[in-house]
This record gives sequence, C-alpha cells and structure tokens, in this order.
Amino acid sequence: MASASPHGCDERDAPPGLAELLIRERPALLRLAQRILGNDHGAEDVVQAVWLKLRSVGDASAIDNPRAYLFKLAANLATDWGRERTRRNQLLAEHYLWGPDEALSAEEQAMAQDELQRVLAAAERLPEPTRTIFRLNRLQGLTQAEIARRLSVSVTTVENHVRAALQRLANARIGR
Amino acid sequence: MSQPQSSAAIDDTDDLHAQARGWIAWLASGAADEAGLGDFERWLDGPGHRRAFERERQLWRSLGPRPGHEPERSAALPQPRRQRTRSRWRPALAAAAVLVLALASPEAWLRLRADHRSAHGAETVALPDGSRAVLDADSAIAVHYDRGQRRVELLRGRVWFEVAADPARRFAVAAGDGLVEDISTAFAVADVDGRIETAVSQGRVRVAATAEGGWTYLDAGQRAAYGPGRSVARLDDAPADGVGAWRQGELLLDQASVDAAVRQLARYRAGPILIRGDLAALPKVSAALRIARPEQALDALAASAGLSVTRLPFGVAIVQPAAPR
Repeated sequence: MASASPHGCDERDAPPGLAELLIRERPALLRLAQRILGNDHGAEDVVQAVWLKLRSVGDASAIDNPRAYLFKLAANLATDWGRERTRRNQLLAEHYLWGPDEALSAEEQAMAQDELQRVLAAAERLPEPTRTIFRLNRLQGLTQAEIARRLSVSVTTVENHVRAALQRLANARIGR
Repeated sequence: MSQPQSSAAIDDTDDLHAQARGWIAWLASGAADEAGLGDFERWLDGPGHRRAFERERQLWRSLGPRPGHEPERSAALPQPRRQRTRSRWRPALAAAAVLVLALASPEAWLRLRADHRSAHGAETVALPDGSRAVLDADSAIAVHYDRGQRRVELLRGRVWFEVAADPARRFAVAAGDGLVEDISTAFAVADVDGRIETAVSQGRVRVAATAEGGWTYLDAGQRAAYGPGRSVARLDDAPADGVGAWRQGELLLDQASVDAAVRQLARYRAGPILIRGDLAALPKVSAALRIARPEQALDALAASAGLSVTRLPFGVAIVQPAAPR
C-alpha cells in the first residue's frame, strides 16, 4: 500500500487518502466510539458510519487536518448513536409497560372493581417517603435518577421504595 | 423452576410475581439499557412469566393515566418567587399547565379535537350530508358543518373523500394552512409531515395554500402539494384509479426511500417498529403491499429492500439493514 505520511500532502489529494487514514486509525477510532458508547458493540456501526460519510466527501483537499476531522466525525456520530440508542431503549421500555395486552382476554384485562378499590386505598396509605417517591415515579413520570437528585438520596434507595410500594399494592390487591 | 402443583407452589408464584414487579420498576426507572432489555425479553420467555408480568403490569396501570413524561417542561414553568404572590400566580400557573399539557402531548390534543379517528386500519365514516370519508390508518378529522358550509378539518394522516352534491353548500377540507375545495368529486388529502398533498380520483377540486385563496385547479388523476409558507405546486400525475389505493388495502410505494416506506407501513401495525442502523444508504423501493396483513407486508418490504426484521413480544419489531459487514 502506498501509505502517506501523516503530514505529507499525498492524502490531501482525494478521499482515497481519507480512506487509508481510516484504515490506519481504525483501532483508535473504535476505542473512541467504545468510550463514548460505554463499551458497546455499537462502536463497529459507528466506524462503519464514518466510512459512509467519508464517501460523500467530494474534495478532501478542503480538509486542513484529516486526522482531526476523522476523530471529530467519529465522536459526533458516536454521540448521536448513543443518544438515539437511549431514546430507542426508552421507547421500548415504555412500550413494554404500556403497550397492548395480548396474553390476557378482554375480560381479564380490566381489574376487578373491589381489587382496584383496595389498591387505590393502599396507595393513599403508603408510608412516607415511599408514597412521595412512588407518586413522582408512577404519576409524574420522573425517572429514578431525577427523583434521587430531587430528594438527595441514592438511586438504589429510590428503587427500593418503588419496589416496596408495588409489593404493598400487590398485597392489597389480594386482600393480604 | 418447579411446577405450580407442588406444595411450594404459592411461594414460587409469589417469587415470580415479585420478579415481574422488579422488571416493572426497572422499565419505569428511565434507565433501561440494551443489555437489560435483552435480559428482560429472555425472562419474559420463561414458563408463566408473561402471565405474571401482565398481571403486575395491570396493577401498575390501574393507578392512573400514563404520565406525560415531560418533567423538564413543567420545571421550566415560571415559579412564584415569594410567598405573598403565590395565590395570585396560581390561576396563571394552572392555565400554563394546561398549555404545557397541550404542547407536551399532541396525542391528547388530537383526542380532544377529533370527531373521527382511525387506529391501525382504514375506516369509513359517513358524514352528515351523505358524503363519505375513508380515513387511512392513524388519521383524524374534525367535522364542522353548518347551514352555509361543509368544512372538514384534516388533523392527521390521510383521508379520501367522496362528496355528495349540494349546490348550496361548498365542501372544503382545511389542511395545514390551506384549503382544498370540492367542485364535483372524489379526492384524497394527506398530511405528510406538514406537507399537504391532494390527489383527485374523480371530477375536480381546487387547492389553495392559504385561507385567502389563490386557487390551483386539479382534474382527475392530477396531484398537487403545499406546505407552510409554500405555494401550491403541481406534482406528477397519478393514474386516477390509483388515488386512494390504500382504501382497497394497498400501500403503493413508487421509488420510495426505505426509511419512508418503513415508517408508512408502521402506521398499520399495532406495535412500534424501531429502526436500527442507517437506512439512508439503501436503494429506493417500489412495491405494492397488502396492508390488511401488516406482518407479511413488513416481511415483503424487508425482502425487497434488504432489511432484516427481528420480532419481540408485544408486537415490537426491529428493522435494520441486512447487509453483512
């Protein structure tokens, strides 16, 4: 391979220079993407996307510092990728919580009136701070991290209270 | 795990339900990540797990409506600074909260305004004057009829109209900032991300990009589009019998981008389609898909567009480029 020196002018000629640079810097770009994504296999996709973007660079000579350009591009794409992945995971989680119900029949889907009354009464009787934490999470839709920040407690504490609240409500449902 | 006949059955069931509640708390925690979702999906596959999850999910849902999950917005509301002014602030705050709700949840807003709404399939609506409106999946209209006019507002999606003759009252569809008026006819109006497209299957309509008019006349087979701040532009003609093909349960794709094709098809499925990876590099597709069977349609699209489809519980489908690396 007629490899160009990092400071030579060969790679400024055309995108093929950029492509060679990408091949040479691939391991470092992969590490960068892994760091931003939190060590996930999505890093490979990011490097792939960098390559796709490079193909649309018409005039590589307009890029002053191709190496810096490459790393900046990879960092931006990894950040976007991470954001998109977070959003997607959130959507999926919400769908699992709120999506259509296929396992139960229409009759089973509605909670019996007496059960519902016991559960709602138990929700009102939850001890503090379980009650506040549960309300913020379930009714206001705050994330556990947001609740932890707001109440100056750890996320684990918040999680424990949410579980405890659900346990009490489940017991109330069956009249325990 | 032992079967629910043994004497330990109650404990096991309790344990299973506790696990289900643990997953629910985790799903609602706002910290769901890929690895955890994978674990959850594997757990859901276990014997009796799905049922236990459904039961505990019912408990979770029974406590009230789904939160608007917009805590940042409400935090951005003007907050009263001093105790003294608080009581005077309250009505304003309440009004602001209503506004925030409308902004935060277009879904709720649409529900308040729509007279007719379709979910995952086309729906035919008989209008009070004998005209017919066929709503495509995920579409909504509001009907405003009075003595002087017949006005239908397109709130979302795409609708095909067959208009009953009434020389005394004009039939107009308000869509985006503009108007589509019937002259004698059947036509379709679609809102595609804010761009309003009109296509005529019979007779004649006229289209204006603003309420002030500036009419463009369209005959059978002709199409035009306008958008916010854009005047009416004619599009390529379509075969008149192809207008509103979705009414017959066909989704016609003509050199559509794969991304747009997947999003169009998503309207006909009950569960969400999540796109993974970049579809922009894939070549455009042309296809005629049967939308009454959205799963087969998705597979057909995937086969012709070079996509792989992964199906998860609750109707979730993940679509990604199938190209090997």
